[in-house]
Amino acid sequence: MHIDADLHIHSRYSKAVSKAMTIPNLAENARFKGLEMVGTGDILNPNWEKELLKYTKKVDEGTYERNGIRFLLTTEVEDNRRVHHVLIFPSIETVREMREELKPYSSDIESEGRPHLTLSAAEIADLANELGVLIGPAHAFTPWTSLYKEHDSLKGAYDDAKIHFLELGLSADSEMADMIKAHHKLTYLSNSDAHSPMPHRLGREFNRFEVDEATFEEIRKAIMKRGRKIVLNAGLDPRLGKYHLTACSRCYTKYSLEEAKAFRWKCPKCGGRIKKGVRDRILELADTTERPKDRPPYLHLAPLAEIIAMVLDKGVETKAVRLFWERFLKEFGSEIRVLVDVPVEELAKVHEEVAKAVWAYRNRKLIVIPGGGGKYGEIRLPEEIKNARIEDLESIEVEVPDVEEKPKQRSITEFLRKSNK
Amino acid sequence: MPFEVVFDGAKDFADLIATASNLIDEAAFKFTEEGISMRAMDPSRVVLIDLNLPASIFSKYEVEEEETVGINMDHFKKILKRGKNKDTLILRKGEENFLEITFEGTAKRTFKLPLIDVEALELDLPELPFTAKVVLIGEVLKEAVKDASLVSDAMKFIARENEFLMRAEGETNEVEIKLTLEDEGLLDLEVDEETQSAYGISYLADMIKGIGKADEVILRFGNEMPLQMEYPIREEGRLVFLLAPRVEE
Repeated sequence: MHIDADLHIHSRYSKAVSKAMTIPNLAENARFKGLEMVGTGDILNPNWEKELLKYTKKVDEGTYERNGIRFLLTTEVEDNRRVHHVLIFPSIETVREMREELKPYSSDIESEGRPHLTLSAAEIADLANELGVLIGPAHAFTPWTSLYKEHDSLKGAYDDAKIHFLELGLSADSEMADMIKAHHKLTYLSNSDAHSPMPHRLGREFNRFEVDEATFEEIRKAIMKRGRKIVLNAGLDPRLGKYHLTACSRCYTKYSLEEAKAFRWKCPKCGGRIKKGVRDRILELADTTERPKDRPPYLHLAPLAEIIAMVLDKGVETKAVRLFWERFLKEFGSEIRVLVDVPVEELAKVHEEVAKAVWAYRNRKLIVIPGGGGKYGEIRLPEEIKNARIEDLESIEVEVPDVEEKPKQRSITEFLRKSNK
Repeated sequence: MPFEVVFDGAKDFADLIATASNLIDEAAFKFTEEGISMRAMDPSRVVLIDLNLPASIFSKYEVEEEETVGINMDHFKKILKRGKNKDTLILRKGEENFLEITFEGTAKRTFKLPLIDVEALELDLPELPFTAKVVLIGEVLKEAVKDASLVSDAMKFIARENEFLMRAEGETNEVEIKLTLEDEGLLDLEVDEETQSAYGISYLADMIKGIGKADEVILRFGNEMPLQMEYPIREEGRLVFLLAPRVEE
């Protein structure tokens, strides 16, 4: 069987997380979205554990269920160098054991959702391996709290401790991560890191597992590539991620890596800190153009709610957007079906403009304004498509400007060469 | 002793180095019989800096043989900032690999700055087909760059037969600074043909930081060509920036 799972989210006990992040809300929104499995997130927090046990029933030691949605016991922790790691537990007993082991190294493990630990990445991985907990770096390339903001290699962080996966994060995809050879043997996870159960957050990235049943043990086998596997990673077009390009974290002005270095990572416009984009970080570390043969395909998604919001010109969390989103899902079953499978003519019966936008998305004809510095990328619908009739879509010519690659600032060396000729 | 040069007015020299150091981290200074020169590109390779200080602007100039010294500009700038306006500045290098920087005023203060390996930029300044020359007072340019930075990250320079315009357009706001020869701020204007070109404000801001309000600035540019910005130093010396243009959007 195939199951779609989002294994990294946060509870309302973590900082900057929506109060609506409760177990019942998660289960309901996961069903809407078409997810069969969700990570609990924050399970080291005792209150969140209580909430899970209250609202779900146990399937086996490491798997819980509410209204048909399975929950795995997961959390994110922060190490002594502010690097984040994702942990997936085999049982609630292991969660409790690890909580006890970590207490001397954390002042907020009882209160925070994502505890800060005074242990190194290698020490945390050693402990995880001892207890049979799966571990890997969270959103491995982002500029604030990821492995590669702090280290130049996996070994630099974990030393010789074993890790089981690498989480790509919203601003990267498999192709980008494969540019580093040391990743080739690792399983990639594409998770949302959602801080809200809204449809444009929860499940905006997910993994499609091929397993016998939706349980921890089966997921473990898939991650370890033991007879089960991940058949698809799905997630945002990396350009829509909020740390894709190098940009100022205050005013979001984008810079080339060279410019950022020249400005010593201080924004000349507003004085804010320039944050290195995931794309530039990966290009710095890239050491191969080959790709592993067993890497599952990566499907680029633009959240349906964002597409509807763009068409309606309303906020993505407004009622109007939610209404249409629910109508599409009611009509066609799941967001994936709407985005990938259902014919445009069928979608047009619900909303013609949205149907045209989905067509543009499928045919890579949406204008993408890349994200950076902490601001998500944006999508825009070209005017030609907006004004076209559904039946004429295939025949219209659309020029999608490549906003990202256009070199605005020329280099002085071009002129030096010219004059020397 | 390889060289000893003396410059009256340590603060002027400090301003000069401060201006150049906004854009470069390190530089190779070449000491020859004729004078001191330095040529460097900023790390993003958008600006070329060319400094030329002939022997005549120094009150004492003794260079036994040609020598190139590599200097960390940030350290150099910070040391030079310690000089007072009335201080005399002495730059001296012996056999050892550091530069002695002495301020002579009410006391004699000497810093030793270790020299670093810097590869000198071996290229000639290009002869570019500029079609406009504009001479402004520093204050006008400084204020214009500040005005433009409010609305955009680039500004356009437009030279016509009898006017010079600086214009910036943001998403909502725009600003235009207009000068004719009747304005006090514009000292000279020579235009072969109507010329337009746009430049990045962050770079312009770094280039003008050190200039005085009353200083004379010479701009030369062409259509979508680099901007050459020149400041005379004590009449015979000059600091030149060559800034690559922004292409039209």
